[in-house]
Amino acid sequence: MKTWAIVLFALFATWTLPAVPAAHARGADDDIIMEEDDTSKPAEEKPADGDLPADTDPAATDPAATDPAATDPAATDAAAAVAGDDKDNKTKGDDEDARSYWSDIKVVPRKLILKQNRIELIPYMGITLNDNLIRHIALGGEFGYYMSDAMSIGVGGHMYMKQQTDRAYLTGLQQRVLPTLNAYLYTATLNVNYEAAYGKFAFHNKKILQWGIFLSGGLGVTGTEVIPRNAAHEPWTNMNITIQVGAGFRVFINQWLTLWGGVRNYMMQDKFENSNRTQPDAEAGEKNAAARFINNIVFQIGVSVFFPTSFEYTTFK
Amino acid sequence: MKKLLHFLLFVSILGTTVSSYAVERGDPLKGQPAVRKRVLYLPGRFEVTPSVGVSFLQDYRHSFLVGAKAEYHLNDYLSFGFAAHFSPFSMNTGLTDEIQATLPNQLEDDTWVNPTPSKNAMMDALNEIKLVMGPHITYTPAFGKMGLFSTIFFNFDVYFFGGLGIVMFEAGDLSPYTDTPAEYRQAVTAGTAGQKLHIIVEEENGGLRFGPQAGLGFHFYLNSWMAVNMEFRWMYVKRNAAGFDRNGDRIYELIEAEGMVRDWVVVNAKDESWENTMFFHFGLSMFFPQFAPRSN
Repeated sequence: MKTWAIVLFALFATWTLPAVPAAHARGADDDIIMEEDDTSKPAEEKPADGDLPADTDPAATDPAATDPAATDPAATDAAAAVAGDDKDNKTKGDDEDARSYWSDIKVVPRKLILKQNRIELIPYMGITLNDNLIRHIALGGEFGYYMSDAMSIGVGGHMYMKQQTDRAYLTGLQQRVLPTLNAYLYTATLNVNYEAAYGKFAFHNKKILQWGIFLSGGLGVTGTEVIPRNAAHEPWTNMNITIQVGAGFRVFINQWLTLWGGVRNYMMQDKFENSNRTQPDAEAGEKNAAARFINNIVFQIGVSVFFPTSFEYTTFK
Repeated sequence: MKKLLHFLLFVSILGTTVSSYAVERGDPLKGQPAVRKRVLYLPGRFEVTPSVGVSFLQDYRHSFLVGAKAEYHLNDYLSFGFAAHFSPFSMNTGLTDEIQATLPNQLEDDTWVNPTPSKNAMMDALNEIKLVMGPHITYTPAFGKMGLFSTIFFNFDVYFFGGLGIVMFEAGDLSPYTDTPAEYRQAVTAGTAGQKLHIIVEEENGGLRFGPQAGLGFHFYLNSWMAVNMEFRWMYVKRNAAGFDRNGDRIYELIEAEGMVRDWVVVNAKDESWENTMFFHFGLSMFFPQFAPRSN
């Protein structure tokens, strides 16, 4: 009989006890004071430029954090906000309960993407920016390997499609000058990229996105083709040593995908038709070609995909 | 057996209680602002940004700009303002230099046959940007912070704006190089005809032009009331940058002394076309009042 009494009590407890902590949890939620932003009154604490101290010295907060930029103001600020709001809680017991929730929130969250020893593929499209007479649309890609979390080496290239602008036509009509033009065919370069800046931004103070700025340099070749002033002449091509410098950005979407964009200057010594209009044929035109240094500035935008698509963090959370 | 039963009951109660506790906890961050205790740089503040700028992707002349922007921020996201920039000087683009290099030093002897402009005529026909201004509304959807080389940390925000763009062009002047039918008749009669372009400039390519403007920019905050401002501004206005005829319209006149009909090219507003006009500005934003509160 005693055993059955224990069994009945236990069953009763099994059914009723779960409601107790649940109700307690709801009550604790209610006790967390989460005020909306109030712009009308100054904060009580000393206003410091920038953000909270924990943000400016993440290493002090979390020894595992090797990159100070990886600190999260959201979590840091939220945790600090709760600490500041604790005085509003009614009892010490409630304080402890509230803290128990926030203790799960990391002051220094991890970077969204670790890139070391990963491969990056970047399909992109681009447009040339700095030639008034001829515009090129570029389609291409880049393949990179990250030696560290900030530096990668890779190879990239793209093909061009040319579009002559209205100004190319108008130059002949208005100034009576036939422009000397070359069309770009392709560019291929070996690149070194370095992520110089890393940060994050909040969209409408709701969604936090991480982003980075990279610098890029490289060496390669660019193929160009002369557009003869005399339509009867055959065009001829050049292959030019090309130096690439540029900068760009990434917005991290998840552990393997980023939005990617940049501006790169492909510098080369190109050969054009000589401005002397008496070239009898294409061979003579090529022989008398005039060399000129060209800055081919290309705006590129695409996505980058990291492989393997997942990775393991090497430090504690 | 009895002990085993007691143990199983204990484990059952414990397991059920703990699991339900975990399920019911919820996410205390749900619906909360992403960033708390942040410096509110914008709401209710007045911004003044003196800046320098430069046009880019121009066909003939790059204009350098000096001016300022004044803006009032209604809240974190919306503001309105007015920007005005004056261009004290400009410089040739590469295209201009190339064209100029191939043009003759003076007009051809027979400009009916070869109306190629001279170097000076080509340059004097160009119009130039002298003033860029306009009201705008700004939307600031995002703010954040970043580290440069893991060494320098600063807050920033990014904004987009749109509004009315007003550009004042300084007109080119082709009059020293052109003649009208009446002037040509007189020259023919006097035997001095020649070395003039037969162009009638009905309307100069200067004055105010209106069109839409849009752009984006960044504030990189140095402290609670100063920020480095970088801004890209796009305007879409009608202009005739070269100052010559574009659409081929002309008038025909009988020159009695020559016994033949001549044609004069007409330059007017119909030779204008909508063109992208873009600027990059670099300035220092100052916010007033200087104190920036923090959010809760």
